[in-house]
Amino acid sequence: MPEIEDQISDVAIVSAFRIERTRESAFTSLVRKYQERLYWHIRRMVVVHEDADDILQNVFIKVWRNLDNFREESNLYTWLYRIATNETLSWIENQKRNAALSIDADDAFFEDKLKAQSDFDPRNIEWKLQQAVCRLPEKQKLVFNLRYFDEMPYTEMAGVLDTSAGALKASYHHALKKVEEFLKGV
Amino acid sequence: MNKEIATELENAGSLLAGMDIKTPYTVPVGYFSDFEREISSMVASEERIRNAGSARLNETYAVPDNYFETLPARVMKKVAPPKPAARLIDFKWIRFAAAAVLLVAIGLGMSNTLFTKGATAPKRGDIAQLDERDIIEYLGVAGSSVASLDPVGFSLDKYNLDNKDIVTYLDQTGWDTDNYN
Repeated sequence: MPEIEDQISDVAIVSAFRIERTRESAFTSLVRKYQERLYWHIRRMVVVHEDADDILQNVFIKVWRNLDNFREESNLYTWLYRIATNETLSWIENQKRNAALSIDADDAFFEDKLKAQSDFDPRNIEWKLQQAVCRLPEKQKLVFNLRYFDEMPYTEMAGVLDTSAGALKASYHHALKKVEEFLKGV
Repeated sequence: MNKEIATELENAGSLLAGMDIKTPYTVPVGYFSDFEREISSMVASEERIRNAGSARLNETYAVPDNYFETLPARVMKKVAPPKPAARLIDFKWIRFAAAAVLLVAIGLGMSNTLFTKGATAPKRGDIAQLDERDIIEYLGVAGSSVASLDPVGFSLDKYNLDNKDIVTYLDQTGWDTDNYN
């Protein structure tokens, strides 16, 4: 969740970006500030570092091209997450389409990638949790990650995912239940 | 863990409540500092290409001074229709005039033929309706001989001729009756 100082700084970044002379330095500040948060948001969805890196680059290139059009009534932090989420979901859809799989039907698509990670350990609770998350449908996975790992308030999640806070809360509890069932079953 | 998230998990009676679970994925060493440089370099080069592209475009396609100011006038000069050349004789009008004269001449000729013919060659019935006196006056003025007239319905009573005069006349001119048929 962004602090007040972060929001003020976001305004300064956006203002500096709109001035030709300070454009590049403002953008560097923005990347420095948000790259890790956005990277982990993407990485938890796509598992593999190289894929997360590709998507993150695309996200920031889109930010560079569109920050001039950013409407200041919305939160920069929410706007960046929205771009990252959309870019990630598009990437996943393309991957699964190329693999001739339906998006939610094949649970093993990301689980296989997870198991292929060099340091994967099925006895470790952290890997087990990731394995449980990999089995969730994409939208539930997003909600679970944003709430549990990114600790995002429902109202901000609503801004990122274009869904009501109540629906997101229900979705999170469904996801939580599935995750626990998996963890208990292992 | 955020207090609000922890409370929510506790209220839900979740296994995850109170567990500080982190993401187990690893990231290459120095990735984020490299990424920052890499993405900054990418957008900077994109910007340079964009600027260089527009600069090159301007240099390559330089236009002469006042090109755009004078363009409308030059275009209008080309698209304006040429003025027709002056001619001493316009053959097109002559053709129309000749055709009109010919039509008038034909029309006059036909009307003259039609109306004149009708006046000089009255039908027999029309003449029969004329008064004899009028005919005789006309013949007297025109100097026509009685012998050249059609004798049908013609009476010589008014001329006070007797048979002797007639026989004398016929003896002199001949008794050929074909002239009266």
